[in-house]
Amino acid sequence: MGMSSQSLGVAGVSSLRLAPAASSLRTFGITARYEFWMQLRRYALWIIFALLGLFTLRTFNSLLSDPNLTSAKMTISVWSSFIAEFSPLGAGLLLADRFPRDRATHMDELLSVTPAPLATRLLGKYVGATLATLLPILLVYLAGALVIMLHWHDVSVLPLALVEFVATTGVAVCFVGAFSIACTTVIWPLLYQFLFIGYWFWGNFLNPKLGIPTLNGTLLTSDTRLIEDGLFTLPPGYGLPTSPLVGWESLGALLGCAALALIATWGLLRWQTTHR
Amino acid sequence: MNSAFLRRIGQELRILGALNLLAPLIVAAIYLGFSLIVGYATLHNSGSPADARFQAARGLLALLENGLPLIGGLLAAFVVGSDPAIELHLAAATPYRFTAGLRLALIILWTTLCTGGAALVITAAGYWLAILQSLSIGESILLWLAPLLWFIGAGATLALLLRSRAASGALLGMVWIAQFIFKPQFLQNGVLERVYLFLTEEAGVPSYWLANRLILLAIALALLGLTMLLLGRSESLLGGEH
Repeated sequence: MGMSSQSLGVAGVSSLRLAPAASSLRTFGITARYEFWMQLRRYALWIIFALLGLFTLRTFNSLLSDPNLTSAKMTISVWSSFIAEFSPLGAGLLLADRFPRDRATHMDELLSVTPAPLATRLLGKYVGATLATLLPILLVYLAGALVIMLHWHDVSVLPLALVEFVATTGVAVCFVGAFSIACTTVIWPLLYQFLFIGYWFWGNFLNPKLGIPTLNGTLLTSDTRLIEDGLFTLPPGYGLPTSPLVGWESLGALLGCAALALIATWGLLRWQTTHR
Repeated sequence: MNSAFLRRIGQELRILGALNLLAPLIVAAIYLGFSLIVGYATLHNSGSPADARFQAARGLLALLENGLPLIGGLLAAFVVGSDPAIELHLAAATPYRFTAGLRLALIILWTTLCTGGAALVITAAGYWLAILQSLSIGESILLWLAPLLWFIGAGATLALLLRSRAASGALLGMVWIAQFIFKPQFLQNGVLERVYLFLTEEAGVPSYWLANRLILLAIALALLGLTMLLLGRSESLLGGEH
């Protein structure tokens, strides 16, 4: 697995060298494609989300028998919210080793002498690896959505289910993915893993009334609860009523912070390259 | 213990790296900071000094039961996960099982020292929760030793089975978070309550507390045994993720 991933990486470099005049868009496309396949071919990615799928689908009965959930639309909202609560944690940790791996295999030195600009390679790595990580989560989500649609005999909620996935889990994984790539350029992976797991609890589940300052309940709640509450109404007992404006603000804040993290990483890597 | 073995231990500690060995101390500092903040916040939200002390003590109990065990599990995954020179190790006279086993033993020893040391300091400072005063010395040790060894055993086993340290960390993280999210489901189920990892912090010392700790310890020992078995399967150690 490791060997094949590395071979793909080298093939990517060859392509970049063969096309030095290629536009940034083309370079971005090549990088994103190879990063996508490298991440997608990791057994660990599939095993982790298969286990998550087994675990969540096993407890599906309680979701289908809940008297508060009276339609397919409501049940899909709760399912979407549940997936966004859990899966970005695994996604963030699986994305955290992408940059350290380049360093460990000395691929970063090789890539730095290619004509491909650093910003394009960084963006390609982020987009490719993030999309690949989202794919198994989407499959687990769709499996659950299918069970819900069959239970309620209502397939008309499929487009809504897809939009909810993109707006919640998609945004959450984009957010944590950007920080996983950004932070591992300065923090060693082991400590980052611990801090990220702790952050997920602190920023999403810690009771704000406890007195410890937390991001939980703010626009930067990264399990995207405010987006789910604001843009897709959750049934009573599953969330707090929030206005659509707050939902949009939270979505903008999370994606904006992800963009800032990537820009900061680009600046730091540029500085590191010139001071090597 | 001969000098060659001591030299070997010194080498292994250098391979593990000062930063990784410092990780449990950094985790202790983070938990201490949060415990002080929560104590201060309780006091300033019209709580009594006794309430503030209780909240801070609960935070420090969390360090013993879920903070240091998690970093122990991540360290264990790091040391057995993948060695860049694995091919050389497999060709050497010393079996890789011995080398990796030694590294794992050092992690167990170091994290046990850190957690035991933290427990002693917490007790000496008077922050050992009153509800835990009834525990014997052995039970007080079992309070943190069982989850610590569970996380170390699980981290090492998962890293070898999945052939990826990152994947092992991801699963440990999900298990860790699940203990909080699904706490009611764990504590309302006769079987799951026996394997709930953060029982003392979340539910005190219920009647099945000792059974819970002993079961966790037994699972941890079984996982560590499985780790040693997996380390003996040379071919499966090749080609893991770095």
